[in-house]
Amino acid sequence: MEILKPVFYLLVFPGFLFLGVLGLFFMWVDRKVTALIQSRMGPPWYQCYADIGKLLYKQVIIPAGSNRLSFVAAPLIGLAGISLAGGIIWMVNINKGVSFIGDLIVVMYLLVLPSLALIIGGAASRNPFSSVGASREMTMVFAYELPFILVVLTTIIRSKSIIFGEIITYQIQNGAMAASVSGIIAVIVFFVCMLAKLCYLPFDIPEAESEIIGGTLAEYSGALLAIFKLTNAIMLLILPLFLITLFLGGIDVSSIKGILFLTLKYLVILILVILVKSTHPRLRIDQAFKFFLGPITGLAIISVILTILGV
Amino acid sequence: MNILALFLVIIPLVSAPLTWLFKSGLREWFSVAVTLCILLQLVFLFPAVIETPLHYDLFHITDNIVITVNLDLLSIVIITLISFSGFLATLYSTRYMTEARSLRKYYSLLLLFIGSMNGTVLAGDLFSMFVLWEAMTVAAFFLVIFDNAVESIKAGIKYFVMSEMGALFMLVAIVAVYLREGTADMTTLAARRITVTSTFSHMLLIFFLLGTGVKAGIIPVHTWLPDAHPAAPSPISALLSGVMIKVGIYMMIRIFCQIFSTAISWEFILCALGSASIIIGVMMAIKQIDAKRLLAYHSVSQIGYIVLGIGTGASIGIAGGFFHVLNHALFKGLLFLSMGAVIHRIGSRNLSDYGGLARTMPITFITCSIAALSISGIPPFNGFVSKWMIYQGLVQRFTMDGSPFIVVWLAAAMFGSALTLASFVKLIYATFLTVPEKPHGVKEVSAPMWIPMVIMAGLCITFGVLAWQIPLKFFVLPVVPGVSFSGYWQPGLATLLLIIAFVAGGVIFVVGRLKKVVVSTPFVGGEEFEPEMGISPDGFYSTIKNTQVFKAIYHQAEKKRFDIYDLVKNIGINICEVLSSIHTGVLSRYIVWVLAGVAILVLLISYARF
Repeated sequence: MEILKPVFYLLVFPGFLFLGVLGLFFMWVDRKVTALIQSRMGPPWYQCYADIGKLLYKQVIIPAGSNRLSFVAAPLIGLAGISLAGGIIWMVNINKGVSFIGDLIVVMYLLVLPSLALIIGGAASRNPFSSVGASREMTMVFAYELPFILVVLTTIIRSKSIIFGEIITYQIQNGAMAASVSGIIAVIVFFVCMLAKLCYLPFDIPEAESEIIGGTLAEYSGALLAIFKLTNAIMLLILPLFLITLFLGGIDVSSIKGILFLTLKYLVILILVILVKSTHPRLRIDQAFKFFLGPITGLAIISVILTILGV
Repeated sequence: MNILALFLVIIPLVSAPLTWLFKSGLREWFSVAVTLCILLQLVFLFPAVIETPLHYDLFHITDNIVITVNLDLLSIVIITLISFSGFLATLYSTRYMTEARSLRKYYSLLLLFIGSMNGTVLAGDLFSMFVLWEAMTVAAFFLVIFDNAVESIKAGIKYFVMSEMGALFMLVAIVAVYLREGTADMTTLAARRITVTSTFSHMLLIFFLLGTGVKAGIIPVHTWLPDAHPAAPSPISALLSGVMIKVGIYMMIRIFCQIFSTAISWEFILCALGSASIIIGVMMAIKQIDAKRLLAYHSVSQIGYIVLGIGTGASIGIAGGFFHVLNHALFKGLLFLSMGAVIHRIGSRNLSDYGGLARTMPITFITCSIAALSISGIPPFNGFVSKWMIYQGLVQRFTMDGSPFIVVWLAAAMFGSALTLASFVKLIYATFLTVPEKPHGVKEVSAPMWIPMVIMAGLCITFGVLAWQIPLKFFVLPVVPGVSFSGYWQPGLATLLLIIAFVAGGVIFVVGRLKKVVVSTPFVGGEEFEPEMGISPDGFYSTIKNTQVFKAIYHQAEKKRFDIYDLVKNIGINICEVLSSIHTGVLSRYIVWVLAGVAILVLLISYARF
């Protein structure tokens, strides 16, 4: 039975099923708020679930002459990676002090898998738009990964550990990581990198519906597209939670107050994401590249220096 | 047991000339048998050495200069690696090297190469180590220039000159160590642990660093690597990159971790060199379109991780670096063999000539992808575990002395990993997934070629998933004592869960009416679909290449402004030009020079006397 426990964690709670259902709910929040900003009605609450259901029912089209193995496996790799990362982030917060599967570095690497999935899928699609999408996605990873790594390092510098439990304990004892000058800068940088990881405006360059018809996703349809959408929904849930875990004192689900606080923190981040997303136009890939390796990396370096100085 | 250890060197060295006796056809299998024979010996030697390390004097040249054989845990693991890769490369060669002329030369050189590498690691004293080290260089030189093309010979000479320069520095250092300590036996020296305090001992370490660094391919003396690797036949590239540069690392571990007790400043230097190698190597790799050159730059980058691990000075960092030695031999060997298979079929090293091979060469595609994921450090493959250990080493160092530089090394290492992924995405895309301009009528390579690839791919997965149960338990932790982990990683469970999640995702796919799969031409907005619409491998990272800073650096790099070999060559040529202006051909001037020389000598001698 012991072996079944982690399987349950992964598949039902707090993994796959839980993350998917909740993620799709927040996806709806995203769509609704965006609609309100744009003076539209917005979809009903079940719209995202209905979308997934509809996609599952639709036929799957595979581009002629593409490599089927990579084309079908790509979305699954992304989903598997993000589910595992999500499971780890939840578990270390629920059972404080008990490590599950891996540490901070493991999660950092697992978070690359959804991007990798997009790239493999795009490359395997045999479609020029998809290859452009894959190339852009990888360029974006190149651009945002350095500042992202740097700001995550600030938490390691403070807590002197790569174990989640110790990072959370450090925050319980010494206050949240964000409660300092360096912490605030780190959160800002993390936030911007998160937008890029989520592929949200102004960094939705790899998908860019209006110029490269969805990039990687151009050739995907039916169930495979549903898996990509689900991965995106889970990322929308997990990345802010990762931010909360690292910088905003972690998650406390042991009391009603804790859950309320968590919801509040999460919603604030989500609303900010939506606000930025719906008020900014898309950048060009070279602009985004320079933006990340220029000012954003600069901010990240300042944050690291301040952290070392203890500010 | 003593004799058995010696056979590791004697068998390949004696068999090398014997290959000339065999007819073609028999010769290949004779070489395979020899390498297999070495591997079988190790099956007996390994358990014995784990119990009691071997160390004995072979014979005395003088009272102090003794040739010794030393087979401790460190050497036996490296020898296993060499013999294993050697066996697979020889097996691979039986089909790869069919068209080349003078195969007799090839196989005898190959055995000589494997034998001398084994010998370098087996040698217990610095002098015999040096002799075999040079034998290794010579064998590798002839293998690099094997196809006799102008490009190969240039690359070979560059390799040879750089290696010899390094080796000369090392020879000076070895003699100096011998004169000062009175012995060249590494075990005795390791027991003494020479402390580095004086300028003299710092100089010694610099000389040793140059000697081992050239072989290992550390920035800035790495420049022979990207030239020599593409020039050599693919199985030889796999050996060069997989194991020969590891012999350099082996000596580095001996010298920096065992013989000398290094100071903090040396750890700083190693870390700085390691981080620079990681970033510069991978940045250069990203822009390459020559498949093997790309892989060669990745060797520089991955060696950076190893040096960084050694440089941390923390046990777990050194263990991580050592583990990365094994992992790198596996995945880089595999990458060279896989790309070798592609080159064998297509006959070109240019990525633009490939495309769409995933359908025609499925085994190569899968093994190459596994290797690419491993080298990028994607969990749960093997590259991740060793990198993860190196990061922990850095974090532990940071906890101990809080040096801000460690943050820089850590960021460089982690960022390098993302860049590695970027580079291999391009390789996989261009070779296997993109649409070729015209379809290649090729088929999968034959069994002797793909069997080594599949074995290595299997080991890449095993070493990652069962990291705790097999490689760490048997090969790494016994060699580096006192490792304490500060991270947490359960690769077995994670793999299980990844597979389950993968299957769960697959279930969604199946639920979504698998039968309704329809094949249709890609949608390109109603235009006629043509292969050249896609992105060429050269254009994959045009954004990166066209960003001003990178563009300027790449431009300088193309002009070989950062190549130490060309820099020194240009300086040498300039000096010679100045000197040649003296040679006017006028006899009276020459007489003046001779007289001036005599006058200076007389002055010097009379000065020395009084």
